[in-house]
Amino acid sequence: MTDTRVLSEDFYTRAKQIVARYPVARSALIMLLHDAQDEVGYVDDDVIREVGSVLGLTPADVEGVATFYTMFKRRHPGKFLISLCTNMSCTINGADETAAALRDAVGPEHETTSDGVCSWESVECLATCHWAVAAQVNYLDIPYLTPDRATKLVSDLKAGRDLDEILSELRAAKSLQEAKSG
Amino acid sequence: MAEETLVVLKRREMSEPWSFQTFVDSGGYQAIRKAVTEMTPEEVIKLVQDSGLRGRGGAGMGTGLKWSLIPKDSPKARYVVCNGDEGEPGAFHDRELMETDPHALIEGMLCAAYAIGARHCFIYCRGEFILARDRLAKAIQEAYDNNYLGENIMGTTFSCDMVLHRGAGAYICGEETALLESLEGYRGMPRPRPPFPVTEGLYASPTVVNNVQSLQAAGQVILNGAEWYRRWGTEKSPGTLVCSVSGAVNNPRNVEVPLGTSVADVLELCGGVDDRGLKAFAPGGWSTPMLPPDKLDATMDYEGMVAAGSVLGASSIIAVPNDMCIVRAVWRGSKFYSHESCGKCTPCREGTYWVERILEDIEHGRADERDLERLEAVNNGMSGFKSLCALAEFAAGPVGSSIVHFREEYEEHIRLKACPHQMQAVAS
Ligand SMILES: Cc1cc2nc3c(=O)[nH]c(=O)nc-3n(C[C@H](O)[C@H](O)[C@H](O)COP(=O)(O)O)c2cc1C
Ligand code: SF4
Ligand code: FES
Repeated sequence: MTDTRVLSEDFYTRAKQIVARYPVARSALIMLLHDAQDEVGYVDDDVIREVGSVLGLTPADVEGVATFYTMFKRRHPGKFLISLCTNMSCTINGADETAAALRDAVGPEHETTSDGVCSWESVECLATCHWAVAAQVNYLDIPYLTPDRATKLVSDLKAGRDLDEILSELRAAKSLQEAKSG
Repeated sequence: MAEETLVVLKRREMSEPWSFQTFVDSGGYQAIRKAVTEMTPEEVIKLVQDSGLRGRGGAGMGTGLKWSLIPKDSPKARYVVCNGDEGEPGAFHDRELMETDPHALIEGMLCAAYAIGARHCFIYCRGEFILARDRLAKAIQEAYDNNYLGENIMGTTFSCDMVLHRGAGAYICGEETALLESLEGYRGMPRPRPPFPVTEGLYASPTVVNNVQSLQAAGQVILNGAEWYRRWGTEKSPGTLVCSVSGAVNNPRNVEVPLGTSVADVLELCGGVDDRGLKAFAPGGWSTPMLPPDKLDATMDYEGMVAAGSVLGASSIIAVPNDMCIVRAVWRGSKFYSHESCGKCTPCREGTYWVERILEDIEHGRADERDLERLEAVNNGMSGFKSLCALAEFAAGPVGSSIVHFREEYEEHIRLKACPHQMQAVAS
């Protein structure tokens, strides 16, 4: 039985602790889905069934919840998911151009590069509008993602450079102007 | 020239303001100590009411008033829930407040819990906020380790637990009843009201849902008194307010100012509008009616913004530059609302869908005069509080206000059968 499970023993141990925090077990559902997705990278039918089993919920019930929330991905988005804000303050400051650069470097939105490394999506306001054009990679914040910086980000990720290093480089820029002038 | 007044942002410039040490060294956990050891819950509520503090999440309800509405005689458990789901386009103050001063949020929630007799508190932190989550998780652990959470806090009879919960990408979960649904493990669909959360909220029990900034400000009020807080702001909107400022400004950032400060002064604190010049601004996030530059003297307070023809909303100014096509901007905004509408109410579900379609047609030169009329009709059908929550209103605001202030831009698209801004871009 255990070897057909996609979620680890550790997941089930953590799940018990998470559920115990809430007065009503079902409240833990979104936290369990996050935890499961952090472990396997997506929330597919197997994950849905196993998370449901922890709370005694049917797969249909869990699927209904999971599909309501955009952070839960039904298939693997690649090792790195770049989320580009295209809402107002970022559009005002050039998000369309950055989106075009990502389309060139990665491909169409929501599709993963053939090496499985990268995909990108356009998202709503990330609450870092002061960093417009704002973005995230695997939900880690990136300020001032100009087209040039986006192109370099993708090639760095594909080249297997260390993510922390890439991020600290990108975060060194202190204004959009500075980011633009490289 | 206006000055910044740092009250909830007071630890902003300190070193590691999120650490337990910095917090206690700068007066942290003194508010809850004072409340629990010197005041009755009723006195705490009265003090917050006297301060005139109003909710910073949008609706502007008195924070003390909300706390006072928790039924005294209910045998059910009571809950305090912090709304940290900030997703309003243009708003980024709650994120900064959670990231820089997580202990102040814990303390504000403890004060609320003591005031209403809650044993359990929940922070609903937006899913995309990883740094805020990490800082809050660490702060909660530190608070437990130092007996500011858990059993018999500070050796008193007051006990309180706090759970950090995460959203997962749904703007609608910022609406308080959708948030509660989500916190109960369901799809984030708003609930009909009444009953209001203060009587039937989380698990159908009395619940206070407050915004991050409201809770942090409440802590300061309890420590320093109502009169102290009323030194700033206006009679009806006392205190200070954090405004997020972004778009076409030179130094986009959060600034904290007394309520009643003019938009012009707030913009100046952010280095002013950049060299593109100002075409319009949304004062409370994109979901609030936009205003033209001749309204720059409008003031950032609840009454002032209504007088100017908009609302304070999430106190987040988006400066729209002259070179931005208004139709294109409003169309982009409309995609957000049709995507985020939960689909429960017909006027909102259908309205947001059709508004987006018609705007797309106008922007791409496929519309005629009748489409503009249809746009207005559909938009009016969406507004007027006919739906379960205010999202339909939020969606209608930018459309309606842009037609009032920039009708000629819509008409020009229709006449030219194209977007004039795009034509210019192609020509140059
Ligand atoms: C669509 C929608 C989104 C909202 N988003 C937020 C939000 O992100 N943060 C927030 O504090 N309030 C938000 N609100 C307002 C909440 O419903 C609620 O009024 C608020 O959290 C109450 O806190 P307060 O009394 O401290 O202001 C939103 C409302 C609506 C209709
Ligand atoms: S107004 Fe829109 S978002 Fe709000 S409950 Fe109705 S359909 Fe859902
Ligand atoms: S509009 Fe892009 S982060 Fe807010």
